[in-house]
Amino acid sequence: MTLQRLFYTSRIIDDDEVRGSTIARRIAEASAQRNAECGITGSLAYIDGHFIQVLEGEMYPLEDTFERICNDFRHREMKLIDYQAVPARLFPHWHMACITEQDEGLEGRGSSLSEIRLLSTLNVREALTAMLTLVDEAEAQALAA
Amino acid sequence: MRVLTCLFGEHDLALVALAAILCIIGSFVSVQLFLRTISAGGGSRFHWCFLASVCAGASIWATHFIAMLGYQPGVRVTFDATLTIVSAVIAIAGVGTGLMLSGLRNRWLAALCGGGTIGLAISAMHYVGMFAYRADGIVTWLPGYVAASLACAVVFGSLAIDRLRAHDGDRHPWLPTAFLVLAIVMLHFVGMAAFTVAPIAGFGSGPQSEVFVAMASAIAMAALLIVGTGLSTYLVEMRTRTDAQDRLHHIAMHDTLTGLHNRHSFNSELRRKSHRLTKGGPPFALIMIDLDRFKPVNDTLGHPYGDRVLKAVATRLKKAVREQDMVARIGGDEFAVLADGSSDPIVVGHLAERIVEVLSRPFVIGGQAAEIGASVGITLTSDGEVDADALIQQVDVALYHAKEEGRGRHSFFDPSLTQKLLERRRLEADLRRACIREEFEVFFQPVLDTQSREFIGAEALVRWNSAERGMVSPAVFIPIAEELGLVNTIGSMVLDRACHEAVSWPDHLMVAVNVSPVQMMGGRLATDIAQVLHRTGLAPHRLEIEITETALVADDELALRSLEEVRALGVKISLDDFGTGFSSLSYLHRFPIDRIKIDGSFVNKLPTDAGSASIVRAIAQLGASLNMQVTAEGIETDDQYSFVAEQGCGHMQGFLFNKPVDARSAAKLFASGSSSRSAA
Repeated sequence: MTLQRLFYTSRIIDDDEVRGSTIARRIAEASAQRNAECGITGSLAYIDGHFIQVLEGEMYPLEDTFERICNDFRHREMKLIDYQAVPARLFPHWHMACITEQDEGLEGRGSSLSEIRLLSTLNVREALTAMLTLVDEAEAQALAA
Repeated sequence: MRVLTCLFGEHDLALVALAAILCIIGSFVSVQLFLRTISAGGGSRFHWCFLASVCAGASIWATHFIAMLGYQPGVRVTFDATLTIVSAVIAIAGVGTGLMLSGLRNRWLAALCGGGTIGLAISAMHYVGMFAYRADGIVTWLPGYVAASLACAVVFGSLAIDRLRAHDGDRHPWLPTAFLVLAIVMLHFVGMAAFTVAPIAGFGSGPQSEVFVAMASAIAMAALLIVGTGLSTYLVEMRTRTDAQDRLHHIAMHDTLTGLHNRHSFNSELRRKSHRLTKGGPPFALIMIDLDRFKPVNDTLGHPYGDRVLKAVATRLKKAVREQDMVARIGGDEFAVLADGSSDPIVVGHLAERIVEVLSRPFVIGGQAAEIGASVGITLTSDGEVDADALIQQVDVALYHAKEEGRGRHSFFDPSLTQKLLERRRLEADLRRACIREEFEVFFQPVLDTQSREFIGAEALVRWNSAERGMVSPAVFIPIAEELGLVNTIGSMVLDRACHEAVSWPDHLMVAVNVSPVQMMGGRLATDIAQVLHRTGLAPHRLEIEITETALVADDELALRSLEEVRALGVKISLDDFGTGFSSLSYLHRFPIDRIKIDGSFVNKLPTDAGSASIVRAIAQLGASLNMQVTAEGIETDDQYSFVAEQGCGHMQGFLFNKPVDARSAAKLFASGSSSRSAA
């Protein structure tokens, strides 16, 4: 079985920024539990009413998970940016990391979050790297605190 | 009368009651087994016959025997064991024979022979049993009652079989059961009335009744066991048959691939709902869903992949609709939803939006991603008379409209749509006829050099001069021609005439011909052009083909190959309507393009609209830096002319200088060598 990585963006139905962040965090928590059972890792970013999500794992559980996301009506305008076989995971320690503008430690990083959103349509590799950097920073901040 | 006195005077009523209960239960089960025997075919018929005759024979025999034990002639009684057993065998064998005869094709014959045989078997069993009954007294027989008992058995037996043959449906055949009970009971008690025993003085007293009751109970038990076995066999078989029928019914009503309801099931439900609505039932909405771009998925990723996409589509549809809505797959990539109890356009519209939304999302299957989409047509029912066929027609019209409007959307039926559709069909028919009659004309729009204002050539434009409609705009008929596959015919005709005309013009003038994406992807474009050039003798460098960006987006590999072949002939390529579509710098680099044409919609807004001005400026600069010619289209005012001239657009065309003219005028115009404007 090959390791696959899927990258997509979508917009939230409800455009309230604070509530959106809360929803994103709840989604990430719920999916982290499920993902732990089927070996999926990844990260979910919520920026300006947009979700940007990376999912990594074996093909079948990954595709099942994505199909479940496709059946979710809490978001719209889903765009699949990238789906391919990859040699290694980018987020091996995260069943679902979550980054939003409301995160402690990420205040004032709104610009980098927006950057991810812009990068997502132009350069997948850079968008992923930027996401990884933010996740690591948030973790470091959390550990320091 | 004698029958009643015999029954009440000479019988132990408790034993008679036991016999009666046994007779009724036995008959009840036997009749079911009879029915099964008659309706069974092939080898299983014999098995059923065996079971039925053992069950019926045992019931008849036990009824008789227990009733006999209840008979109290007032003398000592013994039984001949052999004859008693023989009587039981007669009952079983007789019923079996009768049952086989009951299967005769002719119903009357079957009733008479089959039922009669069963009646006779009951009688034979009874009288043989009577011979086994040894009473210590003087036995006399009354022949009249014997005859009457035989008649009863035969008549009721025949009636039972006759009613059984006529039986239809799932209810228990009560009437044949009653007739069978009557045949057994009547024979026994009328037969007993024929039998009298007079005690002989000096012989022992009556029978030991406890022994008789015990015996009767044992026989009843044994008979009930046999009947019970028959009953459970029947029930088990019924259950299996019902399960099989349910399974068959499920298969018949469902789509094997997706598990959704199938077309048949959908149609009958639609008819049922329509019928109910006509009778004042709840309104509903009919939603028809057609997948967009499914065929390419099937073609490029294979049918098994397409099947997996369809399964996922089915699952998404079921999640998108409400609990009470029925989802069906009614064709390859066609689905339908019957939205129950709803004719509110807002509710149904929301449902349709969910469907369009959920199917527009990517499908990720087996390491590959497929992007499809859906067009949705809706028709709502109102109160009163509804016709299922009319609803289907309406929803088809609505679906067609949704596709026309650009797919990936939903559209409600509205009577004006039917009108539009009819008009469209007429237009299609006219267009087909026009191709045969060659109703197309080629006009020429002169192109001028911006600085010198001299002609550099002309763009060939097709006009449809319809006998029925007058002049029809290419914007109206070209998309239809593309859809109908007529655009190649029209395109080559224009190419041919344009080249033919251009040959007669002065040598330095070029002619530009529009080529549709369909022509470009057809794979024959270069060959066709080469043939036309050869036939007309036009120098290749005097011909330009105009393409649009949409042609490049569709399949850029094929487009690139096609354009390079054309370029290799020496023909020039110009990119039309630049700035309106997916304008991308990468196209200009990738494809062999000689000229960019700035779309008239930008030129129109010059020079006041800042956005258009900067676009025109940008394109002009782009052309200069990439070493491409730039033509500004649609110049109508002096200001527009000055602006494009300042920005360095090399060439221009527009009503300010010349309107499109027919071939003859074009030839004259070019011979004179100056535009109407500059001449004025």
